[in-house]
Amino acid sequence: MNGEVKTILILDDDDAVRMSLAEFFEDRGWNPMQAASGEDALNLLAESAPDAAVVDIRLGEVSGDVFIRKAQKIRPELKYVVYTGSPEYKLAQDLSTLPPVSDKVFVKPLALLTTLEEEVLRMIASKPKSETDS
Amino acid sequence: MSDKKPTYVELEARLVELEATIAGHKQTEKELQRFAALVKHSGELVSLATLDGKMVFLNEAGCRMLGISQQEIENVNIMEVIPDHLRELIGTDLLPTLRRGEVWEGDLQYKNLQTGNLIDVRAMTFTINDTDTNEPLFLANVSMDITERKQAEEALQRIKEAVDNTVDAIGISTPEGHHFYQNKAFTQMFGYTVEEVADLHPKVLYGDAEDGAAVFSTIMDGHAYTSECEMVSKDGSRFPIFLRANAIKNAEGEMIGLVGVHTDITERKQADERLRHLRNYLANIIDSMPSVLIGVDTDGNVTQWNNEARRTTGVSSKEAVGQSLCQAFPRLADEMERVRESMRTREVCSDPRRSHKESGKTHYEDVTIYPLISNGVEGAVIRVDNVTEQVRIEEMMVQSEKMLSVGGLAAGMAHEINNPLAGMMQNAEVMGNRLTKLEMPANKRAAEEAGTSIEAIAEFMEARDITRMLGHIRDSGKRAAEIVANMLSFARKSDSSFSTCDMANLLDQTVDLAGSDYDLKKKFDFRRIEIVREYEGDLPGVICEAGKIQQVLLNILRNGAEAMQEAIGEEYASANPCFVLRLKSDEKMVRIEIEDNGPGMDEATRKRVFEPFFTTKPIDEGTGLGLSVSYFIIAENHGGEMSVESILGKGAKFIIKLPIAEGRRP
Repeated sequence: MNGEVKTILILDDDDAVRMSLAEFFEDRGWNPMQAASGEDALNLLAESAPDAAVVDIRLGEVSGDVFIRKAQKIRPELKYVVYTGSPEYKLAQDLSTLPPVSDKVFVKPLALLTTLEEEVLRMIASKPKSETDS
Repeated sequence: MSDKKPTYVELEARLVELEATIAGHKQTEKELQRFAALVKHSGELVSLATLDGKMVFLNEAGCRMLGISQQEIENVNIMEVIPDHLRELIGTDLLPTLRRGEVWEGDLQYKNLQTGNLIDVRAMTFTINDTDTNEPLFLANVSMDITERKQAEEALQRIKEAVDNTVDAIGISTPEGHHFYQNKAFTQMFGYTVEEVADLHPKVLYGDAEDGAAVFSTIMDGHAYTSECEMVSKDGSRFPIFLRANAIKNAEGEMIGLVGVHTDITERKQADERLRHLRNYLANIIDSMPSVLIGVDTDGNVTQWNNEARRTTGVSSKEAVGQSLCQAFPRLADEMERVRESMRTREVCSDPRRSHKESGKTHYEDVTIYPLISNGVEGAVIRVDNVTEQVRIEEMMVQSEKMLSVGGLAAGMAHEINNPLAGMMQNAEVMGNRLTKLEMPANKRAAEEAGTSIEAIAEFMEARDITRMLGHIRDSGKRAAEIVANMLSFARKSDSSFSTCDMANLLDQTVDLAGSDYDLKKKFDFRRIEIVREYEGDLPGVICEAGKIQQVLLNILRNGAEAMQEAIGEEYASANPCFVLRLKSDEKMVRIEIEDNGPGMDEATRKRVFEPFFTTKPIDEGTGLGLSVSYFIIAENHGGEMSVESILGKGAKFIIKLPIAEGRRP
């Protein structure tokens, strides 16, 4: 982790999962932001611009998919990695073709969280479409 | 004069002479006496009467015949002995004949005046005339008793009628074979007249000339001939005949003829044929039944034994019929009580799913007992159906249903379990990072603020095995997550990617995979196992999800290899572990067999191997889901079949059948 500290948004309604994930990233030198619901996460995005988001899918009113679609409009440069407890989950058609969304879906529980961190870093490193165009 | 009985003509001549004597031509007294004695002792009736019928002479035979004593003779008028019904004949025929001076000869009946009995006679009547005037003087009568002859004739007539009208065709020939008599039935049956038959070679009548020869030679040898043969009528039609032929012998035992009695047995033969045909037909029906059908009488003795019974027991119908059920089919010995019960109550009695062992395998049969109650026929029919396959399929369906419910449950639970698992495992990971990572600045800072160093904490963690414990939290969580993932594979899925696969390729790849992967975990070298391949050529492709099928095959190979390895050193283990891999087509399926020569399993284990969470491995080595997942992949995801055969100590054989490519897509 050289240079500036990257910010990561953790969206998960399970406290034990969300907090431990935030703590993991914090220990690894990240600046984690936490949201326990899709609404909270969207509110956070209005004020700050994280580099990436780890998104749970099954949430209360605003699900992970809906959050990503809405967040796209607020922060087009934001990268997403889905981390879900549903082994059957598959990315919706519109999301799987979006470049900022990782096509690798992580299923809970992960034996080693570093695999998730690696994917987040890979996503951040990939050039957003808008930047390459301009 | 000789002693011979005089004929009528001679007698007449004598009487004429006698008349001449009476008329005055004097003969010697001696001659006269001789004639008198002749007449007196003659066996025939000799009488003389006046023209008005008054009897003047009757010899001894006449007295006996007519029941008249010598003293009464002259009081009798000859008309008294003539029965009423003949008087007309006397008036219209006899007397006119005599008046013409002729001799009347004919059959008459006389009445015995003592008994009233009628006597049949052959009578000759004439007049004795005056030699000078030729005027009749006396009526003379000579009569012979023909009652016996008459009776014999009548009896003969009755026999002739009986013979003539009998339905059997009767023919009689001389000993030389000259046919001279046949009855009506004979004429009707063969279409020949007596004359035609007489002119025929007798053998023409026989369908087989040898039969004809046999008839004659048998009789000539002094035996009666009785047999069935084929005979031919004039129009060429042939028909079966029951023939009895015999010699006709006279009182001295000399053969005077041959008689043959022919009974047309066409109808009987046809009836026999119909009966035989019907019997065959019924036997065919009973024999083509896929069930064992056994008939028993009230004593439990076998009366009927169909093909399937023979096939199942190896006992032929010939051997079984007449034996007791217990002898013929020992396995059913304990059914005898039910058979009796069924016959007593007249109710169908069934005993489903009886199990028995045969060469180590369990077979199932349904036994049903039907009492025979119609027409008062007592006994029962026992039907035995082999339902082993059906029971196996039912077991599999139950299995499948069990797994589906596990799958459904798992799908609902997975999310709920995975989140807390993630919470536990992530926290353990972060705890590990924070308690042991020396280079992490936050760790150093926090340790110092607490008055210690991160190095000391790390040492403490090691000393108290906390690191290992955290590792266990992670491993346990991982195992729980694997179980959930495995259970999820029981859920029905339809979006998997199917393609046509060559099973031989897939099986070989899997064997390679097992060889490279296995020895890492255990100290056992998979490559030590001999692999025998028995692949049928030109196998059709199979529509499947190659990865899934590989998972199944790998699972079986691993289990087999482990089993064979564990068995090494045990007495039943083979020193040369071996897999036999077979591929063959089986109707619209490809059949894959993986057979090992490991320790095998008992029936109780065999029945449960596909059950979720059933395992024979130590608790930390197997989840008991491997084979049930495999089963599910084959049966539910691929529309195939999976089963296992095993004998304890003799290895196990897994059989997988997958639909071939042209079949339906699962």
